[in-house]
Amino acid sequence: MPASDRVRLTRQARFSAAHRYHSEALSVEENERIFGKCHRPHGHGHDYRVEVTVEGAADPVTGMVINLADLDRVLRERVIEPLDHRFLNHDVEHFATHVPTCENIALYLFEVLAPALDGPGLDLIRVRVHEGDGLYADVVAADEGGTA
Amino acid sequence: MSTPHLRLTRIVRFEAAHRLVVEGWDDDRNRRVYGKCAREGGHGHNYEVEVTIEGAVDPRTGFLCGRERLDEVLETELTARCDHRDLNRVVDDRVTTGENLALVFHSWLEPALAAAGMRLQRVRVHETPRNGFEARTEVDPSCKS
Repeated sequence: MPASDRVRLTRQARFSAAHRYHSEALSVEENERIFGKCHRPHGHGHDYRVEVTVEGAADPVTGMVINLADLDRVLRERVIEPLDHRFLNHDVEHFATHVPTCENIALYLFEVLAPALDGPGLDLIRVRVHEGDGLYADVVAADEGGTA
Repeated sequence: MSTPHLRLTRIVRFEAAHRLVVEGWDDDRNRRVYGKCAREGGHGHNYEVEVTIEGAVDPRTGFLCGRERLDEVLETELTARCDHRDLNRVVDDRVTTGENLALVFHSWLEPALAAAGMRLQRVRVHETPRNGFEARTEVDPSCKS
């Protein structure tokens, strides 16, 4: 069987940010029990690594699924500029109401990247957020099931 | 667009000894099949195990449901049983290949995570940085969408 004409491309972006786990929906005791030292008021930080995977057909002339310069511009505008060297809880509106866990950062990035990277001829397949080297969260497009 | 899937992966690292031998075979046959991995004194690896759970985010905590107990289950079911141990004494009735370790770890973790409210999606075992072995939870076709 020949390969499908759909090709997946993964680009990495990095940002460093501070955050703190605190939920208004929990009592002080619950915040401390569930979040431990991640609840400390002045926060802590990570060097985050984001992998963004898109899928499409390689253009017969350019050989590209997406021009990496265009993809990088999207990543710069929607990931790096808003998040890099920020205190996520204070500087990013979304995280005023959502605890900036690895899961919520991945869900947020999938949501903000989809309008730019999911459209005719191009699908956003997966956003993976690494928080250090022992933990990562994946948000995978609904119709990708177990494959991404 | 329908809701995307959310998964969280924790990487557990431990050091352990093992040796590849089939108990019923003689030394020659084991050496032929497993090469230096069959040597009598055994050898060891810096294992890395990726454990992936799947589910919805708890809006109160921002954690994938059940995640606050993930590290505790991994410590009990994986690290305490394997770290600085001889895997041939830890795993019964199976050769301790990466394939079998992925299946065995999955069989330990799946019920323990389920009891703590988490759904295991896959276990990936890296025996060295050059090889990885993955066991996945079967998807019930009736629940696929």
